[in-house]
Amino acid sequence: MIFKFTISGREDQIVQFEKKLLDILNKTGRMDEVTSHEIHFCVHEAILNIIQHTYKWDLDKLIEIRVDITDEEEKQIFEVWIRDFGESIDKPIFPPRKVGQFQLRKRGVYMISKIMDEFYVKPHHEIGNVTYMKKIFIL
Amino acid sequence: MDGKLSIKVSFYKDIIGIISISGELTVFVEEFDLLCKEVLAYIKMGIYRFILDLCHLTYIDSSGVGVIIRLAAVASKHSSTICVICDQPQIKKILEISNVDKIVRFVSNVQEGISFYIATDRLGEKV
Repeated sequence: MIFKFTISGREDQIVQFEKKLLDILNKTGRMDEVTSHEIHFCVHEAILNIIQHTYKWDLDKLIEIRVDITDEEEKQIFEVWIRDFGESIDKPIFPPRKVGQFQLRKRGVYMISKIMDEFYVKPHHEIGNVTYMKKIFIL
Repeated sequence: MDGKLSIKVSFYKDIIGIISISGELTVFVEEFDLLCKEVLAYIKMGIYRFILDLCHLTYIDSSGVGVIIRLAAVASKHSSTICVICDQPQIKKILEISNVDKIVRFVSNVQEGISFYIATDRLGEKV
């Protein structure tokens, strides 16, 4: 199943999108409530990163999101691509392996990496960047 | 997400701030700035013992986690810690993933938090 969304950084659009995402996770995802909350958290964090760092709080800039849920024989694969149209990063971003006790910076990406099986941010070949996340659920 | 955050603050003998946060603790909600300013004001007043009641919190993101880390950092400078009450499994999981569980003390209610400060910071001798 493929779901596509285009949103801006405005609070109402994010709220609406995240409600739909939770709905998709609860209806099609084979995961418990806490796990769907974690997935929701990761997608939210990735959007927050784009708004904070790439768009620098310009809330009218667009974000494209594609969610794929693939059912295989003994597993379900959740993948999400989040595309921004801001300045491309120089090199791919990979999360830190650990963060300091009271460190605030990079804690969000660190947390995403602890929840997801795969996570990176890469420059898009045309314009902007792509955030990719993948989680495999063994059934 | 429904974009609402509500904060209630009370004090125990002017030295322990009891902050009850309900709704969504994220930078996207309007009241988030208010919470940050309020917390900063208490820190400037010299308060570093806090009991955070998160039982009615429905969502937290890294910006919300950041508020807790800031409070914990201030408490740590005073060789203390902050107490957190949280019975929501999804919130507790986020606090574990962020490693916040290692820098705060989980308590089951406000009284347990007060008792913890009385025992560890010898508050009984100060108030």
